[in-house]
Amino acid sequence: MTKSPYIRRLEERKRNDSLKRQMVLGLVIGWLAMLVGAFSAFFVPEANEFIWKLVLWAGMILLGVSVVLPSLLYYPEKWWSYGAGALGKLIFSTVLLLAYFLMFWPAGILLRRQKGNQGFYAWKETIPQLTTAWEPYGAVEDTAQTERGGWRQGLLFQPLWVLVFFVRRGHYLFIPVLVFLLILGLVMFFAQTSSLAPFIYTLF
Amino acid sequence: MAGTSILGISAYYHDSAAALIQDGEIVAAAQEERFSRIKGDPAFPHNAIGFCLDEGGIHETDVDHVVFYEDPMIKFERLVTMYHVTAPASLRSFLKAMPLWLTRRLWIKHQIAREMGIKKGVYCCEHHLSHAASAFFPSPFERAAVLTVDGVGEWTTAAYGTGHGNQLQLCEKINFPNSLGLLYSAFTFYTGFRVNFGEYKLMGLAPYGSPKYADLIRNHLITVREDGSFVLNQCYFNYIGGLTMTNDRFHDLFGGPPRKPESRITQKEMDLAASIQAVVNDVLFAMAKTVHRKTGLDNLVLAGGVALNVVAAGLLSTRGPFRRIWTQPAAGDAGGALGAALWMWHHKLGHPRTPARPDGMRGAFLGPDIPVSSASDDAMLERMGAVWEMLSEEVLQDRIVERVARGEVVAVARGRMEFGPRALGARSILGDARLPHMQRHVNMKVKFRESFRPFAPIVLAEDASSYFEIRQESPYMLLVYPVVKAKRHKVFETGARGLDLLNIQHSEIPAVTHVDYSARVQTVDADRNPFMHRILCKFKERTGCSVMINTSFNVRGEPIVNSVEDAYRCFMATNIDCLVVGNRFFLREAQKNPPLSEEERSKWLRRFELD
Repeated sequence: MTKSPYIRRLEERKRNDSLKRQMVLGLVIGWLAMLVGAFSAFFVPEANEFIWKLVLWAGMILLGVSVVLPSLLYYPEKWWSYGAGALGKLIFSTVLLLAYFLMFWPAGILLRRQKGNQGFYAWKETIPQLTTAWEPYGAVEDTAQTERGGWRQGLLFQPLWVLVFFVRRGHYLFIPVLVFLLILGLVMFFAQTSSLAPFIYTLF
Repeated sequence: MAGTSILGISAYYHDSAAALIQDGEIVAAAQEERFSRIKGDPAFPHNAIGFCLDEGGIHETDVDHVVFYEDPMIKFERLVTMYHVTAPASLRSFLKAMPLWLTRRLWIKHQIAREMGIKKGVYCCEHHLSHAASAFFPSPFERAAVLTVDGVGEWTTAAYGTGHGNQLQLCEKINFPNSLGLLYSAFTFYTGFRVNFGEYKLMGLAPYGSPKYADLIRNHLITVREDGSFVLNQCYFNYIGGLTMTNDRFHDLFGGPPRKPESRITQKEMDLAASIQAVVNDVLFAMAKTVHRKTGLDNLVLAGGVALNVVAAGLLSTRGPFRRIWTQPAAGDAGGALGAALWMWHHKLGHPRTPARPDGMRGAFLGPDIPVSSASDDAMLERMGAVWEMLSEEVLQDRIVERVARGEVVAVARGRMEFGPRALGARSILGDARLPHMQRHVNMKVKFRESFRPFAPIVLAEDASSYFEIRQESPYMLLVYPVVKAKRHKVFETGARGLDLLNIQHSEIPAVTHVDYSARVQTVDADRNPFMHRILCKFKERTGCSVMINTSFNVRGEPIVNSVEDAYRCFMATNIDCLVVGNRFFLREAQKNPPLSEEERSKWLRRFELD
């Protein structure tokens, strides 16, 4: 099957993103190596001058490669991203684990006490004897406008919309954990597209 | 370029899809699985979007509105609530779900814009509204009652309402965790099939058993009210916060742990299948009665995964209370993409709607095209070493009829692919329904799947009532009807049970008659499917029978073939005798490529995850 122009454009975007990441990796590590190498070679008296000058030159070469032929950094960038991604995932899971035990669990206990025996919150041996399980539909309308082209809500305002939605629905107990999760999620969402993603992951 | 283009998208759960409508006309719709070759692919449907944009002749930036088929914010509310009330037991599920939600699903509008490389806003339509819209707007009715039933959307698991002109109003709903779809999935899981994929197997297994567990289900698992609403007893389920559908109490109730996938199917599984089918039939019927009473309308449109339970839908059509039923052919989540787009056009933007006749789905032939002839397809087939004859349409139809009448199996890949789970003649395998051995042969030697699986008949619409106790047309193979008594064979009580029933000929068309005399009928008319209609007419002239087997062109676990390449590869890997691609005719014995060895075939089959 011939490739759709949309898929070709998608592949082009992916190639560009990949190239951007390779450049950023080369520039960041190159600058760091250059700075550390130069500082140690010229300003630290007892440092091994030869080694640090090597680091300095390596940094300068890396900078040059990043600008002139960044695709040479294809594999290093892949390995770096893979490692950083795995580390980020580990840290992310740990943070979620803590949130679950320190925030979800206590709030859940309070919630179950608050809601008592309402169907979803506590199950008993016998099925609750309702006359009907039908409820009014009450559609929740999307707040986005529908003019031609649409109105794009800013990403930074998205967590706010989520919080407003939860407050309107009366979920006050969820607010602390939501604030935490939404900030975490937003950082991760940014990190996914940013060329600095691998650095954010490792710093996380 | 057309006036207004609306792109509907469903993604990130199962069965991702895209659909494009231009000035209210459905231009294209396709499931991502057909391109990626991963059954039920949940990934962002780039390929399907690419196809839709090509078909509409537009660039992604030309799309006026992008609509997602559900509202992630409300779904997130359900998840957060669920994890609060189930902590600490739901830890594993939480750690599995939350990363995806926090990094992708919660920001779906931006995620879609990012994936597509556009800067437009994205609109979200609630899950059951998308289903309802997919059922009502393409239906032939000016006014109709709407019923949607599935596993779960945001909170809603079932809803009903009315459609009138270009407006759709849902009135009442049943909320999670009370879900008919999840109840059925719990039994799918317990009987050893894959949830979200194996439900139709459970349905096919039901006629081999007797509903001996139905009372146990009614007494312990579900309480059904008179108005068709119901409550599930969560003491027996594990899907709230768990990674399985059922828990130990459920297993104790039914006398043991779930069947291991791929292990032998016993009478117990068959009886369980029959029991849950009986319960679903009753609940759906009670719901329909309430919807009929409350809306006062005579036509019903159905959507949602449970609408694909063709046995229950067929009973509804037979027992009433509605005069006519129309089910969206892509009633599952894929159809949500189409529904979301139609909802935006009619309901949100207020464009008038004129009900199309016979309906607005164009026979569900909305997918990628395999033209009768094409230089690029020829080049591809030559590269694959294929040998074929190019025939005129008339001769091609004669050849197909001749081969099928001779007892051979013919696969057809021609025209635009179907949208939805059923192959309706554009990506189909055909066989002679009169031959008793055909069911076993096609199951075991062609599709490499379980022998108990029934096949559907494709029948001339004008002759359908001579073979089946049919109440209305069934062009999308979504209603089950019994074979008429005159065509049934008298079956003497031999004490045969379970799969032994397969050895008994139940009718004059045994290959498509299930052991309870039922058949999942597809009626074919000359308007929507002229090619297949002509084939059936010629088959009737030759044999006196206007029924054939029609099953999807794929093997077990494989999505239905999409391209010429998929079709030829599947043909070579299976024991299909002849292949039709466009107007090309391929004979197995004429192929220069050697047939696959058992080892090569096993390797090829292993590419597809078993369902």
